[in-house]
Amino acid sequence: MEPSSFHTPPITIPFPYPFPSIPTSPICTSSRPWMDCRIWSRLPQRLVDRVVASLPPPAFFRARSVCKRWYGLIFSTAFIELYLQVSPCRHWFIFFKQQGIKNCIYKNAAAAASGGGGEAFLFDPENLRWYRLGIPLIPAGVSPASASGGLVCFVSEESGSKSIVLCNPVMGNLIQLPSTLRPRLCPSIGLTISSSSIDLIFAGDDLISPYAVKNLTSESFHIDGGGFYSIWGTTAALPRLCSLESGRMIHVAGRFYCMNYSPFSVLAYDVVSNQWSKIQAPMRRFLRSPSLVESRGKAVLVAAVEKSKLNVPKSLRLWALQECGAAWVEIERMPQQLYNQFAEVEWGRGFDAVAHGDYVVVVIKGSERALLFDFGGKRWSWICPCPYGGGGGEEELRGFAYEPRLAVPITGLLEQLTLPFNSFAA
Amino acid sequence: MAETPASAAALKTVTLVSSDGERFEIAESSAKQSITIGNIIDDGCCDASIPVPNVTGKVLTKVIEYLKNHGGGGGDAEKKEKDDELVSAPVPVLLDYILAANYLDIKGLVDLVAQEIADSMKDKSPEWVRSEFNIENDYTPEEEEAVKSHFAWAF
Repeated sequence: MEPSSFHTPPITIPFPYPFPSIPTSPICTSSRPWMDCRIWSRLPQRLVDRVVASLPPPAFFRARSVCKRWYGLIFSTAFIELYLQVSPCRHWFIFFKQQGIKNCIYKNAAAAASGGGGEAFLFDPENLRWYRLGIPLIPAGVSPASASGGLVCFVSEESGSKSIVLCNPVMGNLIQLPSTLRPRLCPSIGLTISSSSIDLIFAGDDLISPYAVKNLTSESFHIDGGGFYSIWGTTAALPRLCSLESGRMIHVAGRFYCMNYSPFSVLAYDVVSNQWSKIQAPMRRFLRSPSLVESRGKAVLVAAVEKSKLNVPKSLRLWALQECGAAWVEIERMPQQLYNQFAEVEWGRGFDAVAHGDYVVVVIKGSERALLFDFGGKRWSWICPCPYGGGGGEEELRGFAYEPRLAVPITGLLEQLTLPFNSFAA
Repeated sequence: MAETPASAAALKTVTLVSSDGERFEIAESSAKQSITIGNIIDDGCCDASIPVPNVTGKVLTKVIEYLKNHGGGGGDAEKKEKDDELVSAPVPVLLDYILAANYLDIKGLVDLVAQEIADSMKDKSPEWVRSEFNIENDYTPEEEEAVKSHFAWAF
């Protein structure tokens, strides 16, 4: 697979493109008397661009089919700068159909392509809409592992040194990163992208022999606009006897967090000091199906609580990690009646939670049902199932917080890395 | 007259005159949210009234309301309520607002109205956008089909 950082447009665009001259007769009919189309033509180009830059993602991409000048706006530096300044933050989610994680051990034997064949499902929690997005350039043999800053990180499934590709799903372009150094099987992966830096961490599942894994180390990648970089050279020892189970990592305020299993606790990695620490989980002996999410600047644990020995009704709760980094405070509990409905659907199979902005999505395993919680309105509601399938039977929907972005300028730094890249094994 | 220079400046007002001769008085500090007006004031023309030739009285009234709303003080909820009222105007009026805000270089008002116009067109088809913005379709039918199928997810 050739590393490509820009997708070729399907049509040629005549540059420079002159603004169309105003025709003397209006094109629109008089069926909308309140809208006189001649008025719009009074807007100077700069203001038209300003309006287009404020369009939400689906409307923006539809607008590209209006005329060639609008198609070409994303290739204009001036427009992209304007877009990055004015475009509001959209707290969406991106889902992928995936086989269960445990299957990844057996996937190496099968040469078949995995990862849903380059298909993703966007969810807009504000308008409760699903979109199916094709991402044809995703190579075979990789799975989505994390998402941040408008990009999704895909990582090779084969054991060993891991190949990594960052993808901008709505634009379709990919950029390859240098591969990790230590051989691993199914590590936990964290990604965070800011306007000035990119950080990636791979933790656990160190292959100590071709058929044995142990959670020993983590390795990190860092690059920033200030000229500092570390290409997997930064390693740290994981706490003893931890069990990461290839779980997702979240990033909050300079730290990556992931769940530790048997017994439950939370592991925290401080990027600056390159150190791991363990945080006790709340009600750790009574948790079921915990997920860590980042919500409104805090690390939040979402889990079901079951106290079988006491007469406490089962519930689903959210706790936020406090500033001190050690204490948790319960911030939300699913209403009991809703929990009863939830339990009837879930049947003890477990669930996965993911959060973005004010929204938390809880996806029930083995079912196409999912719940949405809105911190703004303190409301729980069932989400209409993804109309494109997924969630029932073999194919689970695996989700990440995702903000559609037309451009991610910080990836320019990656293009300057001239290390030889490993090619993907089919 | 125990006025400090700061409070004296805060009380200072300027007069703006619309294209149709309507006069509006506004605190200098609020008026300076318009970069254009701010430059005129700094250039030392604040004794005479400041003409705003591109903007009618009807539109300037609303612009001044916006400047006063965001001139300082007042809660965020209150400001948002007044902003929501301002952008609830019909689209031809919104266009007048954005042209005035652009001429007067009031970034906040340009942003507010641009977002409202974008929201009013976000569910519309490309054909609707072309007819409303008076844009000629310079795609061939094949090219247009290729672009639409490339972004099929958005349709």
